[in-house]
Parts: sequence; structure tokens; C-alpha cells
Amino acid sequence: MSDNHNETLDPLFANHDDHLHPEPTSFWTKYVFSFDHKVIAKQFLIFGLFWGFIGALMSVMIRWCLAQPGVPFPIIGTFLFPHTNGVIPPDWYTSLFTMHGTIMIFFALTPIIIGFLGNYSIPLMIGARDMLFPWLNMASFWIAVVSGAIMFASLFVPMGASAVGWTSYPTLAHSQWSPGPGHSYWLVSLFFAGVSSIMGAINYISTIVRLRAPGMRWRDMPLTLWGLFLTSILNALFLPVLTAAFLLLLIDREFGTTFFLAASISESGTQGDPILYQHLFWIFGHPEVYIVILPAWGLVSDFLSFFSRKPAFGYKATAISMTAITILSALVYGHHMFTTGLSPLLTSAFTTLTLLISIPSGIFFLNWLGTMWKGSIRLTTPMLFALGVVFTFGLGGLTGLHLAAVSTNMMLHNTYFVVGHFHLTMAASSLLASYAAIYFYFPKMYGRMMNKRMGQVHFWLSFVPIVYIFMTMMILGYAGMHRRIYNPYEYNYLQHLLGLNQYIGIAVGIAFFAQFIFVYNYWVSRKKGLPSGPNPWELGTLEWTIPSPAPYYNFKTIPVVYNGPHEFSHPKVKDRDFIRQDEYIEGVSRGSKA
Amino acid sequence: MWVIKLSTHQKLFRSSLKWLVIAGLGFACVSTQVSFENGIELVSAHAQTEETQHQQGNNPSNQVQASGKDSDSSLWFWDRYAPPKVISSYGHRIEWLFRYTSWMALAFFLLMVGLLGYFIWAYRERPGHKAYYTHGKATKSEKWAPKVLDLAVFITLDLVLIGSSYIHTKDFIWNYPQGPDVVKIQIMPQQWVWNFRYAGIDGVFGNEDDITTINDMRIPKDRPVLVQIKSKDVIHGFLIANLRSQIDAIPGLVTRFWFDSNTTGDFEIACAHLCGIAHYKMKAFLKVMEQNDFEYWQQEMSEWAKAAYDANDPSIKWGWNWALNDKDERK
Repeated sequence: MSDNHNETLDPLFANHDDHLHPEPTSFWTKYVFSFDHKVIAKQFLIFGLFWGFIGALMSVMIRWCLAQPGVPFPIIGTFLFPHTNGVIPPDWYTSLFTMHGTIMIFFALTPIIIGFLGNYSIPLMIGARDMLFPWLNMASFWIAVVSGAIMFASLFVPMGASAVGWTSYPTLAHSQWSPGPGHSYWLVSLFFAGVSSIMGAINYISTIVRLRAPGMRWRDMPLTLWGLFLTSILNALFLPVLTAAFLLLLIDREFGTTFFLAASISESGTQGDPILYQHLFWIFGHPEVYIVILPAWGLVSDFLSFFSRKPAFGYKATAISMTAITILSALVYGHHMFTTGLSPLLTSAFTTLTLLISIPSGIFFLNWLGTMWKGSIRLTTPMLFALGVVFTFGLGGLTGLHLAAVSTNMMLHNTYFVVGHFHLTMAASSLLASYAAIYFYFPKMYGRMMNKRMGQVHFWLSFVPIVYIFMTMMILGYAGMHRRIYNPYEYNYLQHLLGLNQYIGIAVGIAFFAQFIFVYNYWVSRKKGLPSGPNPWELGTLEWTIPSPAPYYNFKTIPVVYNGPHEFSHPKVKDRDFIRQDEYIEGVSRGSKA
Repeated sequence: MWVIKLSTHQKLFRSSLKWLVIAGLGFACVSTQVSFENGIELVSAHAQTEETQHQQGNNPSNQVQASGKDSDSSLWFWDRYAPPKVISSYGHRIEWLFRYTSWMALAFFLLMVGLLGYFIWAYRERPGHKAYYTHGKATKSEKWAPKVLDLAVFITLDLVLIGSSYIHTKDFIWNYPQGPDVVKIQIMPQQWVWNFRYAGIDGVFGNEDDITTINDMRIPKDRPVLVQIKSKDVIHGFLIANLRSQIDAIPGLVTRFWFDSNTTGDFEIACAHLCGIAHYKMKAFLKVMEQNDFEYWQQEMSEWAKAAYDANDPSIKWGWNWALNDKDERK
């Protein structure tokens, strides 16, 4: 292919750098304030894993409370709670589940599944040298760090960290009922987190639209990119709503306005509305579930094809389904508010719209099965985790049906059934997908493989407890145990559930300690893993056509795409079972070589 | 042009796939039918087995210490961890919908996991086995199999849920009771106490014979109870697990809710919505009494309230105009 072709045939080349910048050499420009999307991705990964550890530790403390009421928390308990001899007190418990939810969603899952996966995969998969706006990309990470620092500081302010639940409902979130700076810190921190994510989203959208390698049509993109693209659209549309709501709440708290305060309880007697906040929150809050899960869906759709050595079954249908869900996700938020006395017109509409989501979900779910059907399945570590996502998401998705219908919703609202359901769908699924992404891109990041046996042990010790924990939570919820209670055994009808809570506690312990296997594996394999070579998984997408670890400017020459991302086991190619996206094979590839 | 040669194994599976889908659909339809017919029966049978368990469990004076032992280990797992007994007249309908959805979801989940497990085993990578190249060459059965399965889920689950939601809303959720038989109660939760207000003998809210109680709700058996709830401070949730329904208490907004009980006894009212540090202790008791006992209680309490009425005590003056928040009464 000649350079002439680039300039004349494809105007998209205009957006690609035609020369290579030299690699930065100083420590600060190379590792800290780097423009390189690969470095920023690693920074997001470390950021997410750090916060993930804190969030997970909090979940262990929460479960300790429920399994061993009144028993001191081991080792760190006596340092943290000296007044109670190490027993977790109720105000701390309230803070713990608030911060667990907040941290896991905004500081662990979002940075890993969007910040890390998006930054790492988008330019490499579309054949670009970096993001469209490298500076914005760097700013996005460092604003996330500012946000994280404020959140971390809020853990140590007088009167404790935020303790109003991650939903931060007024009027409990107002200063009259949550005095102290903790919740204000929380709001400011999440305002910055929102700004950071919006910046990232704008960057992802523009990069995918403008920087795709010549010849790469929308339907030649790996499905991971579809997931990330749709996620970014949701982020760009709905995070502003959330940040606005948080800003209003912050003004309410700090300056005494009454946006979300009823007249009867506001000092000035002016009328606001606590329900308005719920609308604003859930307009964002429901799409947030899809923000976290869409990249995971895309990733799983790709991985099932990659490791079944077979083209993705129904690629177009999967992409259309994901788009349909993205649109529908904005129209269903009302099912979070059925118990506020919504009118029957609204409840019926929201029930119907919510249940409609099961059609596109069903389609791509069955496409996943179709992809595996008649494949040649390699159970690599990323594939194991992807299959784990299929399992947990199937379970979580089907139990979502109970919560869509108004009458069962009013029975299960605010119970552990909800907790189990949303952990399976958005938390467990995107956690497993995050691990799949890390195991998958590790060779490209470090040029070495992670240990396979340790990966398998990590998978089984995470997957089995996760499914057990959240399935049992659904049984607890059906048995009537409601959420966010420090001591459920205050209620006579919940006393017989102590046993189940203790089993969950054991499973949480196993899952928590199993994560150290991953950390050890990651740390050791960086330097001592088996050398991977440029294409360890034998795939055709663009990131596997360059050396490992990926060079500073990714692609020496911008590739031209002739094939789809999932061309496996093509009958005309005999010597190997994959076709690279950038190679032209007569009679197989589309178009003609210039 | 080239032709894919199918192995015997592939042929066998291709033909069996059709039957698998048809069998799945058949199973779905039959189980729908069976659960529709047996739903009510199952629930009532289930309620009987729990009865003994909850006679002990629901007595507030009998404070059983949480010992980690299950209340009755001879019961089957699902009965041991079953929710409290249904007392409302609509509870069993919600319960039925829950069970129906659960069993159907379980069936589809098992079908999916079965296929997943089978595919992982049958199509594992091994020498001499090559993946089947499908790109753009899907056969008829490959095209319709996912659609049919998806449609099966839609018909057996989604349509049932949409229909039930509509019917339930029309029948009881939004069908508030009217007439002289209705017991009217105003509830005002605050951090971390439940306040209840009855109209008293004269049936009018806001005068001196109003009965006010704290954490003590009493209703007669078999009579509809209509409550208006408004929170004093933060959002609370009025949840009685035995009703299988709940409603939020919101500051500045009166929400309506109704229920009834076909069983006398003591039950627990929980706060379902996080409302601060002592949220977990915000518990009230519901006492369902015989009709005569309730009348007697109401009479006596109302007289006492009138006798002890202190116009200067602001703490008992909470409450609001009932009719303003009741569409039926305003007509």
C-alpha cells in the first residue's frame, strides 16, 4: 500500500498524525503526567484496584456486622473503633455501606471497566496512535485523582464520612439530618468524578468517530468498542444530570436553599421537593447500571468469539440490541420509585418499558450461546471470566423481572433481593469482565503472560463465592430482610436468618482473600511471566498486529482494514485459524487492495 | 463456491437443536398452564406449614435471642427461609406472581446454563476439530432458533408480568377502599419513631378526641385499613413483610396506602428506607384485633384522649386534613 493511497482515497487520514513524536524520557512526563493512552490506562487501573481494595474491605466489615453482631472486628477493629473495643458501631456501619457503594461504582468499576479498558483498547483496536484529545485524557485521569483524594479525605473528617446511602436521598442528605462536612465532601468529590467521566466520554466518542483506521466501518469494530461507545454516550448524556443534582443538593446543604426540602420542614418555609431529587438521581442512576455493564457485554461478545475461534454469531443483531438497550435505559428509571406513590399511568408505562429491555437482552444473550455453538472453545483465563459473566448476568438479568413488575417490586423494594439482583448484574458481571480485560491485555501491556493456573484458581475462588453470596442475598430478601440495617435480628421475623448471613460472611472472606492471588500473579508476572510474543491469543484485531509491549506510538504505519474483527476458522485460510484485520487475502477480504 | 461438509455429529446436533427449542417452548407453555392452575393452591398449602413457625416468631414478648440456629431444621430449605405469613387479602396474589416469575426464570436459566455447559464440553478445542465458519451463511434454523427462544421468554414472562401489573394496579394497588367500613389512620414517622393517629369516635381528624399512639398500631380483623402517610423529617418506608407491600413516607407529601388482615395477632412494622443511624431500630408493632375488641379499644382510648387533652401541648397536634388528600372523599 502506498502513501499515495492514504492521502487520496481516505480523508480520515487527515486526523492521523503523519509523523511520530519522540517518546518522553523524564520520569514526570513518562509515568505521571503522560499523554500516552496506555500509561493513562495503567494509571486508571492502579487507581481502580486501590479503591477496589478499600471498597472490598468495607464489604467484609459490613458482612462481619451482619454475621457476627456484637463481635469485635479482627485486627484493625481495635484501631478503628477504640470506644467500642473493636465492635463496628451503627454510625460506622451506615458510613460503610454508603462508602462501599460509592467507591465501588465511581472509583473501582468505572475507572477499570471504562477508564482502563476504554483507554487501553480504543486506540489500539481502531488502529490509532492515541486518543483524539490526549491532553483531555490526561486531565480526565487527574481530575479523577482529585475526586478520589477528596473522597479519601472525607473518611477522616469530624462526625464521620457520608452516611446517607449511595443514593444520597434528601432530606436525610440535608445538613439538618446529616450534619458535619462528610456528606459535603462526598458531593464535591462526586462532582469532580462526574466531570472526569464526562471528559473521558467526550474523548471516547470523538476518538471512535474520527480516528478509526481507513477501511474500518462501524461493523468492522470489535464489539467491545460498541459497548464503550454506547457507554460513553450514556455518560455524556446523563452524568450532567447527576452532577447538577449534586450541585443543587450541595447548595441546599451549604447555603440553605430549599431545592429538595419540603415547605413544612424548611426554615424559610419555601417549597422544594425531595422527590425531584429522586427523579434527577434515577434518570442518571438507571443508565449508570448500563454504563457499567455495556463495556462488559461488548467484551464478552468479543471474547466468546475470540476463544471459540468462530465469528461472532449475529454481530449486527448484537450491536443493534446494545443500541436499543442504550435507548431504553433512559426510559425505565421509574421502577426505582414505585413505592413513592407514582400514578398508575406512570407505573404501567415504566413496567412495560422495563420489561421491553428483556427482548434485546435476550437476543444478544442467545447470540452469545450461538457464538459458542460449534466453536472450538479454548478455556483461557479471559474466556473463563467471560463465561462467568454470562452466568452471573443471566442470573441477575432474570431476577430483574421481579423488580420490573409493580406489585412484586412493591414487595421486594428495599430488601436484600434488590441487593442481590443489582450486585449480580452490574457489580459481579462487570467485576468479572474487568478481570477478563486485565488478563486479556496483560501480555500487550508487559509482553508477558500471567500465570494460567493461578488465574484459574483466582477465577473459581471468586466466581463460586460471588454467585453464592448474591443468590443467598436474594433468598434473604424474599424472606423479608430489608436493606441497610445494622442489626436485622432486632426484628423477630428475621432472627432465623442469622445462619444464612453467617454463610455469606464465610463466602465473602474466601472471595476477598482470593483477590490477593490475582495481585500476586499480576505483580510477579510483570517481570517473570512467560514471554508472550506479539499475538499470544492468536487474534486478528489490530492491537495484536503490533509488538508486545505496545510501542509508544502503537502503529508505525496506520493500518488499513480489510476484514471484520472475528474472522476465525475461515475455510479458505488453511495455515492458521484467524485472519488479521489489516491483511488482504484475495477472495476472502472485502474490497480490493489498492 | 465451496460446501461445508457436516460431520455426523454436527448433523445430529443440527436436527436436535430444533427439537430442543420446540421442547423448551412446550415446557414453557405447559409450566405456565400448571402454575396458573396450582398457584393459589401452592401458596395456601405453603402458608399452613409456616403457621406454627410464626406463631412463636411474631410474639413480641417472646424475645428469642438470635442463636444462629434455624427455627426448625426439620423444615425443607425453602420453608425454613420463607417470608412471614401473608395476612393481607392481596398478599397471596403478589406471592403467586413472585413464585411464577421465579420458577419460569429458573427454568430459562437452567436451559441456558445447560446449553452453556454442553457447548463448553462438546465444542472444546481438541485435535482434529475445527470451528464451524458461520459468517453470513446462517441456515434457517440458526436464524430462527434465537428469535423463538426470545419470543418464548417474552410471552411466558414479560407479557404475564405486564398483564399482572396492570391487573394488580387496577384491583388493589390503586383501588383504595371507600365507605363507612374503612378504618382511617394517619401515620407520621419521624427519626426513629412511628406516630399513629386515629380519628376517634366522631370520625373526624384534628379534634380533641383523636387517638395518638407511638409504635403501636391496632387494626380490626377483616376490615380495610386506609392510611395516609407523611414524614416529619426524612424519608421513611412503611413496610410490613406480612402484607407483601410497602409505601414510602415522604416529608411534604401525603402518600396513600391500604391493606387488611385476615388474621389476628401481633406483627412487626419495619422502616424500609434508610433514615439515619438508628434506622435498624425503627420498629413498630401491628396488633390485629377482633372487631369487638377494636371497637372497645377505640372507644376507651378516644375517651381518655378527650379527658387528657391539653390545648397547649404541641406534641399531639400533628396531623392534617384527611379529605384534602383523599380524592374519593373530595368528590
